[in-house]
Amino acid sequence: MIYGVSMVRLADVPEAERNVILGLALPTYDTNPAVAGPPLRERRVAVVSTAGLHRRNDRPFRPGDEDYRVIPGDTAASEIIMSHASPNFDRTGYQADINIALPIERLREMAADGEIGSVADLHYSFMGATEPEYMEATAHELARHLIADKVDAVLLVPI
Amino acid sequence: MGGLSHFLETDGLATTQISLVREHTEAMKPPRALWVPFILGRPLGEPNDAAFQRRVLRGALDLLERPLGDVPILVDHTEEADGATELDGRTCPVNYLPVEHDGSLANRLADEIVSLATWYELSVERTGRTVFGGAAMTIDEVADALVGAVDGAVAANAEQLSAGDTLRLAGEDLKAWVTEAATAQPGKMTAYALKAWFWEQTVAGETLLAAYQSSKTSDNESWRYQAPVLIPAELR
Repeated sequence: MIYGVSMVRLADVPEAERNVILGLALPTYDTNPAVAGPPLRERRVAVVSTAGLHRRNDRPFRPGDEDYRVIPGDTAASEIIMSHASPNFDRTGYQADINIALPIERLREMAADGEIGSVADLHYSFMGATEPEYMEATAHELARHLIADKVDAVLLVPI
Repeated sequence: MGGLSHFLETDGLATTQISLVREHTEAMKPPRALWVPFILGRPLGEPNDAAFQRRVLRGALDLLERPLGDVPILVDHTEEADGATELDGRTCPVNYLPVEHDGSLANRLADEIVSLATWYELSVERTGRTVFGGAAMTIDEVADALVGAVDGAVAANAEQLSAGDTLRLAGEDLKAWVTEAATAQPGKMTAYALKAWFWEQTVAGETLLAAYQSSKTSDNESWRYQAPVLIPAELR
């Protein structure tokens, strides 16, 4: 290989970049809240991604953006694009299959088979790599929308 | 992910998550997480394999059934995905058209785009989608903007974006367009093979590397700021 292009599983990420990822200052919290709920087969599930996904006509993300974009569950895969800033993760899996990052179709199948109760009407994406403290206010605002959509299980999907 | 989990659980919403960086999850201790041994960018593991993806989802969602006394729960998903296998050695040929020109970057990139266009169209036809389009330009305009960047020309703004954001999104679009075309060609390439091919053998990759070199010392602040995200960290 000319440039020594490396693999992108974390263990194989170049040392300098891996050290950046592992060396990120992560917040700690005084409490560890955890919410109970009904059996999985009765739960309404929404996806919250940090892949920087959005509808084609929605505003692209900029590095450090703390807000989210809403993705209705009936949005055609062809209308969803990504404007995440990091060049250091694979995008070809997502190009081949949107479910690799936003598994709405899989969740619908699981709902149809009775494994989960239902799939939320709306799903959401943040920009990855934004420091959590900057997302706090928008996360609390998002919680209200999720509750209004009767969601009682949030699947958080990184990229 | 851990921060979002904390904020949502605080507000009364149960969360479970997929973890790609186990060390982060260990540190932040969200109530429920499934660590997966997949490459960054593929949290569900294997594209176009519904059964595989269902197993990952089931692993993450089943954690919601565990009693609160068990949290924080961090479980390892042990099934590997194909994308994490070694480079398979196959290369992805680009059949350059026999066009006479001066060999400039602009002309070579234009040739590459022409030679791949039929594959890109096939990809769109087959998959019904493309992730190209973030910069709201045509592929020819994307190529012009990036070749221009090599020469120090600030890319035209699209959708009121900064010059830096335009440059970044144009770079993403060029990568998306070329790799979507490549994956429509016969044979299966791993993510690693495709990445190596793009950066080592395509004019598109050469263009982005050159644009990075030029942009990182630009007088335009937003452009200079975005330059590093044009290429992978190990190539900077």
